[in-house]
Amino acid sequence: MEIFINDNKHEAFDNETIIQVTDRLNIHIPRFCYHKRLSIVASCRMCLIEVEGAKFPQPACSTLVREGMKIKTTGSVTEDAQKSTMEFLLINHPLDCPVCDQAGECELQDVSLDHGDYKSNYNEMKRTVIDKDIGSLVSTEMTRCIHCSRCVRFGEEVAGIKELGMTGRGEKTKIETFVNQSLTSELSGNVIDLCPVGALNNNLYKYSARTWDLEQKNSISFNDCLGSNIYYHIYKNSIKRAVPKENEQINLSWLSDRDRFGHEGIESNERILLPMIKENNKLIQSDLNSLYSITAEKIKEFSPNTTAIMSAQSSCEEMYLYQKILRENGITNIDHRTKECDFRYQENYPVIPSFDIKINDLAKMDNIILVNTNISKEFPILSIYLRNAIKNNSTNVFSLATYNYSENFDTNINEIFSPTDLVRYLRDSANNQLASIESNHKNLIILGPSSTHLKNYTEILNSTSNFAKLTNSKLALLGDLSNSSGAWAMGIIPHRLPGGIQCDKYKEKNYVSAYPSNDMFIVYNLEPEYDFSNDIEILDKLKKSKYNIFFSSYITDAIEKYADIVFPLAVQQESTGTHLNTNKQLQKSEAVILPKEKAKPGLDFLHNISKALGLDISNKQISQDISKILSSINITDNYVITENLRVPKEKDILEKYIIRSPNTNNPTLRRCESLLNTHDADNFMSLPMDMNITEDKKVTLTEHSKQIKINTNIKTHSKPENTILLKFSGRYKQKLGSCNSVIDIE
Amino acid sequence: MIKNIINFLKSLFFIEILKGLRITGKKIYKKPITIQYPDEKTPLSTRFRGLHALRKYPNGEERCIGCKLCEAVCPALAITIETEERESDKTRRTTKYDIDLFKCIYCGFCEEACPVDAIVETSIFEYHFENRQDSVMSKIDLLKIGDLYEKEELKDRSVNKL
Repeated sequence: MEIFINDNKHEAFDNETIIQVTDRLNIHIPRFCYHKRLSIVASCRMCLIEVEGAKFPQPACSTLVREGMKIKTTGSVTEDAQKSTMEFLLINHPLDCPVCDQAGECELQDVSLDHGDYKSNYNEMKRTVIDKDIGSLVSTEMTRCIHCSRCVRFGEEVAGIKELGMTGRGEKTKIETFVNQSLTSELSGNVIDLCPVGALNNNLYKYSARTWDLEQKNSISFNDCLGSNIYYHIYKNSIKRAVPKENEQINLSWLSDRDRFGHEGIESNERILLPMIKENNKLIQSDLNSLYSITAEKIKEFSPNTTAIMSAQSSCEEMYLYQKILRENGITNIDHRTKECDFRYQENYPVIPSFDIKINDLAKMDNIILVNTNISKEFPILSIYLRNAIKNNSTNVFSLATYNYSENFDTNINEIFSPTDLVRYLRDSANNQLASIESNHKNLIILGPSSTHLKNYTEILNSTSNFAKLTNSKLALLGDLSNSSGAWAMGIIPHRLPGGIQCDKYKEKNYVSAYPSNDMFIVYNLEPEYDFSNDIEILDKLKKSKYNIFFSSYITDAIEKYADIVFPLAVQQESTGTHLNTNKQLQKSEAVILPKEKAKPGLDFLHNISKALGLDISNKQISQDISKILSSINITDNYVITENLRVPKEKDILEKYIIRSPNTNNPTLRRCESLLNTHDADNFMSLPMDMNITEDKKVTLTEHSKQIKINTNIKTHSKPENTILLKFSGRYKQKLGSCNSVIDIE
Repeated sequence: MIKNIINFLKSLFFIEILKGLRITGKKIYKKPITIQYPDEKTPLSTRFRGLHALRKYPNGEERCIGCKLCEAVCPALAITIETEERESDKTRRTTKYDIDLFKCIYCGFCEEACPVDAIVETSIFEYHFENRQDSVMSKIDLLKIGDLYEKEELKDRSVNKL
């Protein structure tokens, strides 16, 4: 239809509101409560504009366009309405712009300057509101609130948890949490961006810089395999805050708390800032050139008996060069699956494990089955898509879990099993609630990374794939770290070269099986204490090995003890590289800050080592190779069916398994104090109940004849049956032990 | 020819010199306008923009709230500020407030931008440095000057009131 805006003819669609048309045409209308991804309430009245024929100015956000409508976004009627609205809004708004973190990017400030009056008729006292403590991530200054209710609607509509609400009426209206609770949603940080004034602030950024000093740089998230797009705001070579960069294919306008606050660890005092070498049992500073030649020498010396493990958080370039250097020198035992302990599936695994469908297509699914995936904690961005699917497409969601967790959307079926029972349930799908899933529907099964840590992962993968095949479902395999898909494609696995080409002459099937004959470890961006499925075993092996080379950003006790060479690795935000996300999109992230002191991006170290080994390969060559590899890969389905698996017995052995918090997933996240203070940073350990743990606060576990002391609150869960969940209160220092060992409890 | 004769006569009777001496004669009995600088000083405007100072409230609390407006407005980029939340009362405070006096052009914009009248330019116009790095005035130095010159500052401000 045709409408007239300021006497100019414009096209508009049916059921569009005025503000949607003007936003599309880049015609500015001031607004506070309207947000394109939230419902319309028309409560702030800032968008009042003149509509010809209407008696009063109309709110542009909630007025639908009509054929031939004549709108004026300027002119005396509109301007008068906006001026008086602004005057009312400023009645109770404090004049503390000089100390407010929002100043400079404040919508109230901008609109007041453009549309407000310079004087006010109000001479009474302004109201004050007491601040609330709503957790370690979001700080409040509630006097500044103008009651646009964006944060309230965000909680209801997007995050799915009604955490913030409006209480009181009139002047006594307040935004607060229910009985002073703190925000628990994994998406809570988004209210900071939504707040048009400085009422809800980023606690990390608080008072540390001003908006006009900040430099905005593009980056991506390194905390989960979705690769959310981020703008980092930099001041004096340090990341001050992260805000979402809009990407309609991944993170929309949102960001998970992990991505928003996950840069805190970069400033940690545990950062390794110097290249170090061990002399007389002590790590001392060394110069890089000699380290390169020593590393090259040692690679040649120990070549077949070396285990090289690498974090799947590294970029594709690092991965490609790493495996190239090692494979050229006869080292085949390269792996990234350090948190896993079951590798029987590996031969049939897809070359690039991926989400299989585009994330946007989640909304088209009829049935979604979540297998051991706590979507709202592990992939908060995905939970937004899932919520939309349920809302708009009435998708059925089935949740099959191994521990009791809550989701921010409604699930049709929510079952909790032990891992063995989970396999049994999936095998028996014809006779249980899964029978309702029909093959002519659009079905999706999401298998999350927490399953990979289980000792019967192959069985889970197998039964899930069989079930998926039976019901003609898509199988989404979500990776544990930002570049898990890339690690498989780049050959950071013993049995495959880059591009999924079968490697004939590999010696060991996985990094664990190489332990007995191991002479040297090369550990790339992994921390022995926290990144391994069995930390006790790896520490033991590191101790026995003849030489250990570490590339690490942070120092830990184990690195200090067992490392012979330490390269000071720059964190991902300090280095340039590409990451392959679960949508199979290759995203480039430029270095946003310079590395601290003598730290360097991993690619620099690898280039120099490769030169020392007589292998010269340029960055250009690497990126050409990577694009060649990725284009050559045949994309197949994600089904992983392994033959000859043991059928689980009726009453299997007692199971102990660890549920790792996604908030302690990588070295940088482990050092984000404010994230660790949230509920989501808890790790759990499930233990068989038969072990008679008393309700004592202290538990000592003996594992491999080594004692692990855990101070913890024992929380008994009725489900899964015969287990209790031990909660680790957020500290990454806690050692988790192995997933599959025999334990004694004192 | 005639010009030369006139010039000769003028030089013969010291006409030019007498003309000059007339000025000297006039001024010799008048009050001189030069002053003996270290002992005597010229009067200053109450709005004189001299050395900077950071002021405090009468209760001893520093005025500066770390809004960085002076840093933003400074045309010579002479001001460097770092801020953080003060532990005791959770207010915004500076941890660093440096002014490089070599860079400063004494324009007074910082004084004008300050929403709490914390940074001021006092009437101190005579100071020197013995080392190059001394030109950077730290927060402590500036507060000290503020303490010393608070009375004069108040007096100047009362005159300048609109």
